[in-house]
Amino acid sequence: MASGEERGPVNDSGEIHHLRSCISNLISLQALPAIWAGGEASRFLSVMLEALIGMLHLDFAYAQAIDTLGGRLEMVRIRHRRPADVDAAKIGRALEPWVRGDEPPRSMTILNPIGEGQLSISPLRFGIQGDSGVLVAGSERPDFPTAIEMLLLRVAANQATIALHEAGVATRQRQTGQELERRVEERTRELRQTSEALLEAQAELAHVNRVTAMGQLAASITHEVMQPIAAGINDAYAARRWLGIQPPNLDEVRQSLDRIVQEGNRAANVVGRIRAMFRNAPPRKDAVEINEAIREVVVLTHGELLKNNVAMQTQLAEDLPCIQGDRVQLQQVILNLIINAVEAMSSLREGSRELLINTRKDASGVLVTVRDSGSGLSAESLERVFDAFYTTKTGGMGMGLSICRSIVEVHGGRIWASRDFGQGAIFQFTLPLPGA
Amino acid sequence: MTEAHGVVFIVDDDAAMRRSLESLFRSVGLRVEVFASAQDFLRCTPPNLPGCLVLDVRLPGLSGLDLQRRMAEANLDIPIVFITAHGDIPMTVRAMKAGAVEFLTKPFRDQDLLDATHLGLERDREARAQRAASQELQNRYHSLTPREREVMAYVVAGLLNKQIAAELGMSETTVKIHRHRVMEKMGADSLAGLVRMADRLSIRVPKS
Repeated sequence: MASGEERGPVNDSGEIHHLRSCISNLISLQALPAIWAGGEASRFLSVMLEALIGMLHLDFAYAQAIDTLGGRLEMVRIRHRRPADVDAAKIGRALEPWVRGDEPPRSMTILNPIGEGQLSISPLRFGIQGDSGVLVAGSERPDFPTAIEMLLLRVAANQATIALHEAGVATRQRQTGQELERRVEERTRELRQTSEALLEAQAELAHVNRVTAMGQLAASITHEVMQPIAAGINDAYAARRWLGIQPPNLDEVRQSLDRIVQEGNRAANVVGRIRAMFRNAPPRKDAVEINEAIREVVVLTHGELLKNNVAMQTQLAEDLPCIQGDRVQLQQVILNLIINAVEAMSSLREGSRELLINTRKDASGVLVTVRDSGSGLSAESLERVFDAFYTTKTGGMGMGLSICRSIVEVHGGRIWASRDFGQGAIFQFTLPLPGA
Repeated sequence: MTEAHGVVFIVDDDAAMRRSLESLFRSVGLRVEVFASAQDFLRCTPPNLPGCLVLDVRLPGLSGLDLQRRMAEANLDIPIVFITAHGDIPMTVRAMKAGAVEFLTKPFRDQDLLDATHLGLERDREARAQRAASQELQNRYHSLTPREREVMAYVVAGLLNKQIAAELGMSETTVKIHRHRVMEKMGADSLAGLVRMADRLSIRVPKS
C-alpha cells in the first residue's frame, strides 16, 4: 500500500502545492455532474475518464457500467492514444479476473495489458450497492495510487454513481412520460371513435325522430299539398269556361294559367320541403335564415294547427342576421317544439289554444321563442324535460327534446324551458352568429 | 243578369283557393264575395239577393261547422255548400243533418260545385219568395180590424153568417159586410183561398 503520507518527509512548499492541486482536482470532479446533467451514461463515463487521465496523470482508465436502458457500457481511455484506437472490450476481458470479485483489492500490479512491463491498477466498484459499474485506474508508476489519488478516484466513482442514478431516474421518468403519453393518445383515439359512433347514433336517432314527427303530421301535410293542387284544378276548370264563353275572355284565361303555374310550384315546394325533412343527409354548415326556416315549418304544420284548433301567431324580427348550420336540423327543433306545444294544449278548451313563435336578436345571437298556452311544466319537468327518455306523455319516447338540445348544442347554442306567468310553457333557444 | 242569379259567398283561408273559386263562379256569370275567415263573413252585411255560401270546413278560429251553427242560431238562412280537403264521414253527416246543400271533397269537379251552388241559390230564392209571400199575408192580416179578424176566424171555421151573427151578437147584415171586407183586404177570391191563408197564418177557431 502506498500513499503520499507514507512517502517520507516533503518540504512545506511542496506539500502546500500538492494539497492545492488536490483541492482544485476535487473541485473539478465535484463540478462534473454539472457537465453531465441530462446526458447519457456513455457521455459522462467518457468525461470522467478524460478528467481522471488529465488530473491524476493516469496512463490508463477503464470504466464499465450498466447504462440506463440496462445495456452494458464499456470504455477505455489511454494516455496519448485516441479512443478509437483502443479496443475496450479486449481490455475489459483482460481486466476481468481482477475486477469480477465481490471485493476487488484496493490496488494491485498486473502485466501491462496496453504496453510493456507492469501496471499498477486500482479497481473501484461504484453504485449504491456497488452494482452500477467498475472503474479501473492504472498507472505505470509503481507507487500508484497514493492516498490522495485514491480519494479522488473514490470521489469520481461516487460522482459516477450519482450521475448514473440520476440518469436512470430521468430515463425512467422519460419512459413513464412516454408511456403516459401513449396511453393518453390511445384513450383519446378510443374516445374519438366512441364519440364518432355516438354522433352517428345520435344523427340516426334524430333522423328517426324527424321521420316520426313528419309521420305524425302526414294527414295535415297532405292538406298542404292538396290545397294548391285543388286550387290549380279549379283554375284549370275556370280557364276552360273563360275560353268557352262567346267571345272567349283571354285575359281571364291568362290569369288562370298564371295561377295554375304558381299553385303547381307551391305544391312542388311543399313536397320538396317534406323530402328534405325525410332525407337522412349528413349535417351541413350553411348560412341559414332562421325566419325563412321557421316559415317553412309553419307551412308544413298549418293543417295540424287548424285540425287542433290552435291559433298560431308569429312575430319574426326583421333583418335578423343569418346563422351558420344545418337548416333541416334546425327546422326539426322548431317542428318538435310545435308538435309538443300542440299536444300540450290538446286538453284545453278550444279557442284558448294559442301558440306564439317569436324571433329576435339578442346578446348571444338569435333567440327563438316558442310559447304555448297549455298546462305548463312542473318544477321537476323544467329541470328534466331535455333529458333523454324523460316524458310526461303517455305515448312519448322522451327523445324529442333531448334531440332538440343536442342539435342546438351542436350549433353552439343553448336551449331551455320556463313557465309562463299566465299559463303554458316557454321553450327558447339561442343560436350564435358566425364568428361570435 | 248577374244580380238575378244571386251571389256566391266564399269562405276559405287559402288565398289561392279563394282566387280560383272566384274565377270559376265569375266565369259562369255569378256575383262573388270572398272572405278569409268565418268572422269576416259574419261581419259583412249580405246583399238582399238569393245567396249560397261555399264554405271550407277547416278554418282558423271559427271552423266551417261552427259557422253553420252560429248562422242557424242567428236565423241567417243561407244555403251552405261545404268544401274540404279531407272530409270524414261523421263530419259530412253532421253538416248535412244541419241542412247543408252538399259536402264536396277537394279537388272536386267544377260541374259538381256549380250544380250544388245553383241548387243552393235556387233553394234560397224559393225560401226568399216564401218568406216574402208569408210576410205579405201577415201584412194583409194585420190590416184587419179586431172585429174583422173575429169574423174571419168563424168564417174559416165553416160557420154560416147566421151562426156568426149569433156568436158575436150582431146582425147578419153586419156579418156580411165584415165578411166582404175580410175577403177584399186579404185578397181572397174564394172561401177555399181564405181557408188556406188562415192555415198559413195558423188562425185557430175561437172556442164557443
